Amino acid sequence: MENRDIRIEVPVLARVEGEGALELTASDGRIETLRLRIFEPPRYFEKFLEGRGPQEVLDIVARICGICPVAYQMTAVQALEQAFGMQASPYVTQLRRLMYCGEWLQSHALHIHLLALPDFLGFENAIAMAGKHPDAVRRGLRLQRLGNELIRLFGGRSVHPVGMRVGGFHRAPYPDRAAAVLKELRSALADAEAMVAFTASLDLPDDEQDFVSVALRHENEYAMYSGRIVSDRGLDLRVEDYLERFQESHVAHSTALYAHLDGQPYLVGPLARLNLNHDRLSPPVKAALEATGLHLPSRNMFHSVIARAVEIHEVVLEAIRLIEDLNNDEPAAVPLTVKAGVGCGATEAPRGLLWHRYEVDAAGKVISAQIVPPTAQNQARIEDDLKCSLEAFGLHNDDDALRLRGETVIRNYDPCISCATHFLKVRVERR
Amino acid sequence: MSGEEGSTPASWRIIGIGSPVAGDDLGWLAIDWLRNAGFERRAELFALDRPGPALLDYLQPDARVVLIDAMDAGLAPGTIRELPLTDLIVTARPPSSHEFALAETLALAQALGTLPQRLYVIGIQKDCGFADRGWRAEAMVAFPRSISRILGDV
Repeated sequence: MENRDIRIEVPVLARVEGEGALELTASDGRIETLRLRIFEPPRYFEKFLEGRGPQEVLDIVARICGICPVAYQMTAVQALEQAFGMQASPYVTQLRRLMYCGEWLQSHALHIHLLALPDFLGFENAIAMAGKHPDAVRRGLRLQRLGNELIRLFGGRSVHPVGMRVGGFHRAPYPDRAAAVLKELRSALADAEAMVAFTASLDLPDDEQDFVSVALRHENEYAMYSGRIVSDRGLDLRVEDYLERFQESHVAHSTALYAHLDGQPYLVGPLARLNLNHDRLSPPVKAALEATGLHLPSRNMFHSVIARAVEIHEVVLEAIRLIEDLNNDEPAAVPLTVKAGVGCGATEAPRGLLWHRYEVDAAGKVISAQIVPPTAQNQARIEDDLKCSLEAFGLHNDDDALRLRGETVIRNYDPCISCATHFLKVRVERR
Repeated sequence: MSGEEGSTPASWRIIGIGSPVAGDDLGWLAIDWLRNAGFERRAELFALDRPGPALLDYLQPDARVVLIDAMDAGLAPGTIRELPLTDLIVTARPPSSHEFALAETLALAQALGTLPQRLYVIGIQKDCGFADRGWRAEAMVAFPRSISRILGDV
């Protein structure tokens, strides 16, 4: 049975932030070809940005993704400020970190509870799971709503927020609303902490693999808004030097670019961050993590769900600390000054490292833009993972089991195409 | 938004869903029409910007709710229809982080046992975005009457 020739086609990963498919052929128990095809028409955002001024850039890049618009705005604002020779104040930097906590919280809560848990608890989807595990679903929705509230403090709205500007924010959070969110964060802390043990108790597949972790590393914080680009193989790079080691390239089967580090696939995202930065977690989160017995660095990609839970705990604590430190006497922005130049920015989006580069003219308008999102960086790693995971799982398994394992592997990265992977259709041809 | 989430429910809660931008503003427009027609005296009015699963915060079993959203049913722009709840829920697809629309949210509320006992869903047929939007003035007159019929139903 294991020696059969297999051809699996998942023709439509369906519509999300991307349209994709999975194609696989195998023979003699080994996968011969595996392609995660992204065939969504190019979106041309980098071209749209040409000729646009600073505020337009922030509004436009927010539209790249409805789940992580803050990440795109944070990275763009960082790059533009560097191009203009501006320096955000330490207070503004802390405000940005606080807003970013909101995006991590809402994105991770949604992923864990509505996408990942059905896989690990044995349900087809979150709606089917809700009847048996209503408390888990409600917890996820509560945490997601709280993350959105945090974003709304700064952005006016949680989807495609509008509060950010080059130099800071259009206004500081209103004290009464910040106090209300602080109260909710304190109430949510027990939920957040419990999630670390809960996710570690899940019956996760045991699938050790060899991969390179890449993330930002900050000198004293769990990296989110800034840091140097590091890897677990000795890379230690300034953000501006990203292109010296990382290359984007086209492949015939995908309209998304593939990114490689020195020609090799690599991992970005929660597990890569945790592998590289667990020593930067706050003491309560370190304690909760140690209590699980999880050994880091982890080589099991399925530990990503635990990494997301750890990061939820971290950002709830961090947001509490940052709101307690709010000081309305501090200006929420420095004045905008523009000049011609080139700037780069890198932040940790919920799904991993996000890198931007802008060349601007003397009026501050974009001459050229380059955006490298986390899903593009993970795409080659996902293909490697699928190959390793499905072979380790066993190609003797039937088509439905292979399909489900493949979906689970893809969803585990929380790619922007993850939504589609909940209803993959699989066709197997035996030669 | 005229009411605050979590406040004491009025006799009715009317929620327009959509976005003030990007051509998905019919739910928001409906709330404006109702506000101008004096409905704030009879119901809490909310305009929600693509709430996704956050809509569940507004749906409790003891709440009485009217949801208003744009629809594409191939009818004349501005046509107003009450959409049977069961027909809507049956269209729910497995939810994802990027696609958690009205049908998916209502299916989840049903699974969680939090669907309001009184829940009406009103669809307004959208236009193609480039058409003459004169129909909006006519709909503005017709729409409050439709809502009145529902509220008078109780």
